[in-house]
Amino acid sequence: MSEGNNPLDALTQTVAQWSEFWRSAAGSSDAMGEAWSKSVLPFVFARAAETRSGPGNELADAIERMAQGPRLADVVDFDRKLLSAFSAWREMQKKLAAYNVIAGRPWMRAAELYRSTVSSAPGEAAEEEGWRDRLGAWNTVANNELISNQRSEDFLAAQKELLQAATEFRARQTEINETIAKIVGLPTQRDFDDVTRQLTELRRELRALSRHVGPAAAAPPASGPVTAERPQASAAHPETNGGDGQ
Amino acid sequence: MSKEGPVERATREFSEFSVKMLKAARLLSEIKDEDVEIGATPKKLVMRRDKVELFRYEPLAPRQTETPVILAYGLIGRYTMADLQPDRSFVRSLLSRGLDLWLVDWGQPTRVERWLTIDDYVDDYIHAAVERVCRETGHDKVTLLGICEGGVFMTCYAALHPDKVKNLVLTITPIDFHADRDDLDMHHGFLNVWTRSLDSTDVDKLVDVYGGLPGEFMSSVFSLMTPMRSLTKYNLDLIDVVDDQAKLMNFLRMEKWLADRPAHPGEAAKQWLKDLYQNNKLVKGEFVLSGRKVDLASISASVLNVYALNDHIIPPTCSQALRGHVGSKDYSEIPLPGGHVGLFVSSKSQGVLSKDISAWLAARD
Repeated sequence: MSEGNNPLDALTQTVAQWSEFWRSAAGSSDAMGEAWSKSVLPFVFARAAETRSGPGNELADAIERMAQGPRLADVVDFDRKLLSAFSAWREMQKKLAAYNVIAGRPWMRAAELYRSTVSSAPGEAAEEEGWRDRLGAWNTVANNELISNQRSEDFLAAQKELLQAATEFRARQTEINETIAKIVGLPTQRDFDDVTRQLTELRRELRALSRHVGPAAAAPPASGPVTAERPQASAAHPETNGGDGQ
Repeated sequence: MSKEGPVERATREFSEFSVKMLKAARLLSEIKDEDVEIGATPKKLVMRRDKVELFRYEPLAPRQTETPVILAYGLIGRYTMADLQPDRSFVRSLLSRGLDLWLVDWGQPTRVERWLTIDDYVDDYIHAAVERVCRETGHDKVTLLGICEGGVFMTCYAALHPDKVKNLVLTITPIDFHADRDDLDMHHGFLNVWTRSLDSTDVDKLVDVYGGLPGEFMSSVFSLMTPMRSLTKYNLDLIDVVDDQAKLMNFLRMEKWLADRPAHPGEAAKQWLKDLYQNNKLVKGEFVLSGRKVDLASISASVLNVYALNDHIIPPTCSQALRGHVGSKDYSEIPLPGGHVGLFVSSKSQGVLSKDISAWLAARD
């Protein structure tokens, strides 16, 4: 083998390139923060982090993250509600553990299947395969096992129970938040939902009325100006609602 | 040269992979968020109604088909999938074939839109858009082009307002939500199976607690459908394409689209999951919007139903079911190879979908 083709040399060069990359990165550390925030890297890392766990755990992770939205570290005086939330959290952890057991089952089956596939392949053919070929074969086996597991009664029941537990936990957190909000005089989630409900219903009534009154009263001129700015909602200016909701 | 042994080969492969990793790190640190642009085909805002916006695309070719076409995506994900990048844009492709294309963009629903129902989307927003397009163009009927859930909304509109719809074009649209049982491919239809596994009270509580279906949650359900692909996306697929700037940008644009997944408005989500996915009311003739039953037999417009043969999200059988329920005598189907998203963004499908649709529309203009 010629010197240029020596894989160890290539590896040495790669290590040297990495060293240079990190050295230059460290040398320009002041600019790194800015470069990081302006680059697409935070986005890519955030996306990757969303799928940081193995398959089967993504749903569990997403449910857990959703449920753990607000941090409640400052809450100290709502014993009953805190206890209730803690109890819901413990229940969620139990369901999460049960889910993880079921979501983890196909990995062992996939490993056994893959091992038997490899051992049954002719020796020379197996030697010819590169690591990407082997990884591709493993992915196919594992994918089929995971999908098969996800459609099983056990998995579906476990994920349903986890979802129920996580939703309950989140609901109890919301109760605590609402109690705090009331104490400090802030509108609660329920207040917000009431307002948006009334707004939606009023808008429906207004538009139904506009239709009843007739297109001439509700429609703006066909060539009326269109603004890209968010207009003020007003019955007197139907264009702001899109104009022609007859 | 002597034959490469397994250790040498492994070392070489590891070295090559490391070089790619290095290149990926360098390239990604240089690409800025604003460099990854999606939904960029020029369009003009014509109307805004709450958070919903109606746009008219700038023409890219002389007009070939006069009837205006209104495009709508669903509430899970955004329309930008149909306009991902210039060389992979369903929108641009339609425009290049001389269509007068309009877009209904649902915007970014939040908890504020919690109480919006499918009734609102069909009988208010779509209806307002149709009225506006008719007034702007002088036509009394339009072509509706729906994608996925947007196709269901368009189907409902065509059934409830047949006098306003000349053509109905559906792509990857579920009609019979239980027809996944007729599709034997286990890679298809997990969303149907998953939704049916829930109790209706689970859906109610989920919506009541979160105010809608969180986008992140739906993303995780979609990830489950292609588990190993989800697992290897950032550590293998990304490294694989990093040699090629064009492929890397494709990857990043797709990621940007996937990340832009607003919450599905709450009450509409209840209807979507319970009335349609769980109880299959659309094909049973029991789906009620604005106090009226949506009767698919009332659809009198010409109908083109396009579905993807390897669609793991909407199994082809769920789309094909429309044939047995629609009232129109002019009904056509186009099965195309590819998957749910690939139909719109893969290099192989570019041009095929728009060519078929524009030819079908031209014949009925």
